[in-house]
Amino acid sequence: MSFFESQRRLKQNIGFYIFTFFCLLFVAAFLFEVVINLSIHRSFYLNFYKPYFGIGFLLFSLVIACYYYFSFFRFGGSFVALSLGAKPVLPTTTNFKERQLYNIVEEISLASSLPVPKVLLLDAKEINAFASGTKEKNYAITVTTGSLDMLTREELQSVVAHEFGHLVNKDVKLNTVLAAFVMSFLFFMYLGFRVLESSYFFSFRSRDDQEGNNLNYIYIVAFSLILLGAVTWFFGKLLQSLVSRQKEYLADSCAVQYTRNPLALVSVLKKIAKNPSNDMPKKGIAYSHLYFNDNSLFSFLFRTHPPLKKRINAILGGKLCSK
Amino acid sequence: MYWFVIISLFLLLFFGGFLGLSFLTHDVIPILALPIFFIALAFVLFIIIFNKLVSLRNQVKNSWSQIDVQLQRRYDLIPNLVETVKGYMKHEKETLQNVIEARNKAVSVKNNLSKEGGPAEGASLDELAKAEDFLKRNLTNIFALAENYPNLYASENIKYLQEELTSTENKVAFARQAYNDNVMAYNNLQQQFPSNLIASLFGHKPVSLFEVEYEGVRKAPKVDF
Repeated sequence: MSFFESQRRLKQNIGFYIFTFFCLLFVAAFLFEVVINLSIHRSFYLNFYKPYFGIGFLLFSLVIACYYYFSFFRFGGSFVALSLGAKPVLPTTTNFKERQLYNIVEEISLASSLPVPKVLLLDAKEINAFASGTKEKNYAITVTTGSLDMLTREELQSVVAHEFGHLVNKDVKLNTVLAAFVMSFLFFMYLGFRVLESSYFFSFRSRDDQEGNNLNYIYIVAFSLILLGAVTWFFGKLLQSLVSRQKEYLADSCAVQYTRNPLALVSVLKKIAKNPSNDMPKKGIAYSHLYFNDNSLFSFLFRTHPPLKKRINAILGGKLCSK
Repeated sequence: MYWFVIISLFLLLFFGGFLGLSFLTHDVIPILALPIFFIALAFVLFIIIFNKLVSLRNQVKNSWSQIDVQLQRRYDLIPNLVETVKGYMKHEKETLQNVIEARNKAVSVKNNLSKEGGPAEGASLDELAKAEDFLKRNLTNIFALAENYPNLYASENIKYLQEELTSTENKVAFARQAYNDNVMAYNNLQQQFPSNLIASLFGHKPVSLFEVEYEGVRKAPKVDF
């Protein structure tokens, strides 16, 4: 399969997962509507054309997601890298290795038809890199010093090309949107707990007049919020990591397209597999989905990157590019 | 992309009530619902395809100008290279002269092309490819001969110079590759259904690839020691 074909297929998979993600949102809103109506009317009554609670649920999650989206990337792309302690590499640098890195970034920006992003160097011993930024103006690519020391020119080129693949496919943006929605699901769970907490006070107030009714109502709302929040959070997180893994394959495929050198990418992956280390700054764990490879321990359900062996096999087996 | 739009419109039509959009399908005469769906679908598809075609056309233009820029950058670099190496390689005046001549020829071919403004016919692109290849073979000659001059290899300069030259060669190659990739995407969209209808309506024409057609280039340059 050529890399164009594989990119098309991977994009289809990703589209399917995103579609499922938003179906999840709608199903949650629908269930919320049903539960609230059930608690009000005491029967399976559904006003299908005026679902105020369902729409409220959707709008509320949209507002929360927007809030998180803008708070995640208020400071631009290189902010992430700078907050981890990375230093910018300038085009006027005289250090040979840095000069080479900057040249490579310029080359791949030509191959991928993107403007040259900011280049940053992170002081860490492991072979890793990440792309950040949601707009063309604040795109940034960060490479560790370890990868400068341990990789040959061609290998470094394919690492940079992989990161450009993330930028071209707007992965950072998509991942931020999905993460923001997952956060809004979590917020519903939090809201449910708060309602449950406050229902204690409600019970005092409504002791005299029809206490049973009111109390039940509050409890049902609270528990449905907690349950919906938990279930949608779990599946949202699952879909987010599925998308993230497909995006890694897509970026690998793009790296092959830009460098036309699949063997260099394979040898990078083999080098990482040979000396596994977890040397990235601990602060950066929230951004681990951006990395070239993610060593941190996740359960196999929620891991953001496919295992190295699978990535190598996908390239060599002709799944991402022709053999 | 298309199927996503189609499915979401379908959902809007039949479950639109859930979003409070029932006026679209239920309050208006019900017979109108299906035509509204198809008209909306066609309209959205038209917008997507039209914009995609325009952005690809601009990308092709941009990547052509990138080839231009990178070639010029390389032509500017070569005299510097020759100047640096001259002091060390006193017995290779002929080789260096050849490089300069090849460079000047490539510059004139490229300038002729640029006058025509953008990617012209296939024949002229071919001429540029030939001139470029000639230049590249002469350049590899320099580095093959440089091994005979230990002084040259001992200096720090040559390391930087070689890096710059490698990068420049890569940039030229990648600019060409990106141009071809973009042209392929553009031509694909022009010839596929249903985008071919819109492409022919708004004057999008197939663009030729930057190909290397003749025999000599396919062979790897041979270096004798």
